Amino acid sequence: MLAHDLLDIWAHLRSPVHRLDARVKLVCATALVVAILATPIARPWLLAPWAGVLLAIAAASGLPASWIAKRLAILAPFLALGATALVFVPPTETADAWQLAGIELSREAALVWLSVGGKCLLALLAATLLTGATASADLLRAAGALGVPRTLTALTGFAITYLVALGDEAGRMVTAWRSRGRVRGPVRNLRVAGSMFATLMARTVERAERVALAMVARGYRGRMPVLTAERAPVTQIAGAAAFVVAVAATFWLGVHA
Amino acid sequence: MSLIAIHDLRFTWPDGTPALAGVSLTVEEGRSLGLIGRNGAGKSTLLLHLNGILHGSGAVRVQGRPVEDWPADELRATVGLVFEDPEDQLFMPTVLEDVCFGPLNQGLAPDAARDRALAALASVGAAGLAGRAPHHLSTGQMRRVALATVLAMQPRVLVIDEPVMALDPEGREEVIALLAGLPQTKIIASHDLEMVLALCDDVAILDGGRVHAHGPARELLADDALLRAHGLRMPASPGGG
Ligand SMILES: Nc1ncnc2c1ncn2[C@@H]1O[C@H](COP(=O)(O)OP(=O)(O)OP(=O)(O)O)[C@@H](O)[C@H]1O
Ligand SMILES: [Mg+2]
Repeated sequence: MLAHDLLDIWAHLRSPVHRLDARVKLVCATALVVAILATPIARPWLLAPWAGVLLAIAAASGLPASWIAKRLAILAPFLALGATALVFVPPTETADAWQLAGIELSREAALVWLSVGGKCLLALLAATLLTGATASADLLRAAGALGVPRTLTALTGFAITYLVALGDEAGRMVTAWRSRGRVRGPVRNLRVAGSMFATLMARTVERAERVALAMVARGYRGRMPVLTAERAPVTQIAGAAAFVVAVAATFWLGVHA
Repeated sequence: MSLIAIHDLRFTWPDGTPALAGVSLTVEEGRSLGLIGRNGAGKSTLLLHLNGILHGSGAVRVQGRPVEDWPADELRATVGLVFEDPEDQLFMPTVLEDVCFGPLNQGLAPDAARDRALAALASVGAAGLAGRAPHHLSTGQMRRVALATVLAMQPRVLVIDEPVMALDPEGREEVIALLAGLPQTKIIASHDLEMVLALCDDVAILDGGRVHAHGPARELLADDALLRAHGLRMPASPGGG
């Protein structure tokens, strides 16, 4: 009993993005991420079309904006750190200087910050949309079908198993804790939380091991069997091909313009 | 040659808890053995040795061959184990996919695997659960599905830890009738001695990681003093005395 919906919280939505074949989504997302990462650092504005495409996909996916924002927020500390550092990088020459609210910034450094920050943000957005709109089991199967090595999909599969087991055990412990009444006093509460955390770790590992054993006991050898081996519809394959070509063309035009 | 032969099996859990202190047992093809004994006697630990999940010292042979010498997947296709806790047994997003998991790994085509899975689900009275998420099922429903996941693999030996625990009375009867109708060799650990009496030819009483008695179910389950000595009570069933 693994609560897949702890991880696949929004996988059950029925948006156009959700309905696409997982392999098609994986190919398109990979094309976008490659284009994003390959964009020249000196010209961050070339990231704009990718941002536009991703925002359109986000809107079509029906994924709650707050959930997406929460996922992206993990980058905030890094972006803030970069911005702080920016203030201390002196401009090398007057042509290199940018005035912003009375502070002189190095144009070169600011572009790097914009570029690197933007790339991370957009790549994370792409990954968030892909995983948000696809069940993890489908995604793993798609990766396997597209030739991602078996050990990699198997390891990812077990990592997911562990994560889900963790969430599951945590939920149960909190329920058991609550149903026996809360302890009074912050120090004792902290102590309870601490020992709960240790127990949680041990239980999660043992539980995940038992689940892994159950999988092996039923013949698991690193590849999830596919029950519905349906082919992606031709229209979706054509769509994915067109999407990849469009991404490549946009990238080429941007870089060579 | 016995289908399963265990000789002087000893096992201590990694945390130092001794669980098996020299178990010897044999099970003949087509027979069914009930494994009974108080909580902590070592029943579940013993079952985990039968398809190579745990390895103790001593010998466990299946069809005359030590379990270490079996290719893991062949052994697991031969000895099907249903875990004590059904929550550990179910891991796919839907019940149908979960039950198909074993047959697909055995190399069945998707259609054949699906047919087998649906038949297995129907046989445990869980046909209506195929599309559900396993973790949203009640404990009894989970136990039925867990049983189906192993039945669908059609193993030669069925090893089941507590098959009817948490089932409603009707479901319990259904599962007992189902198991009674299966031709396979069976090893069943349970505290439900009425069920053991109804299903098993032989019984082994385990206590403190040792076999204290092994013999015909009708005899052992009628020996009140013996049962009491090991924390057990006589089943209140007609054919018991
Ligand atoms: N994962 C584990 N780690 C450490 N000790 C364990 C573990 N599982 C079981 N034990 C210990 O091994 C001994 C045998 O346990 P086992 O689960 O085999 O008993 P059982 O006969 O199945 O009992 P029950 O009737 O309660 O199911 C017990 O002392 C138990 O505490
Ligand atoms: Mg047990």
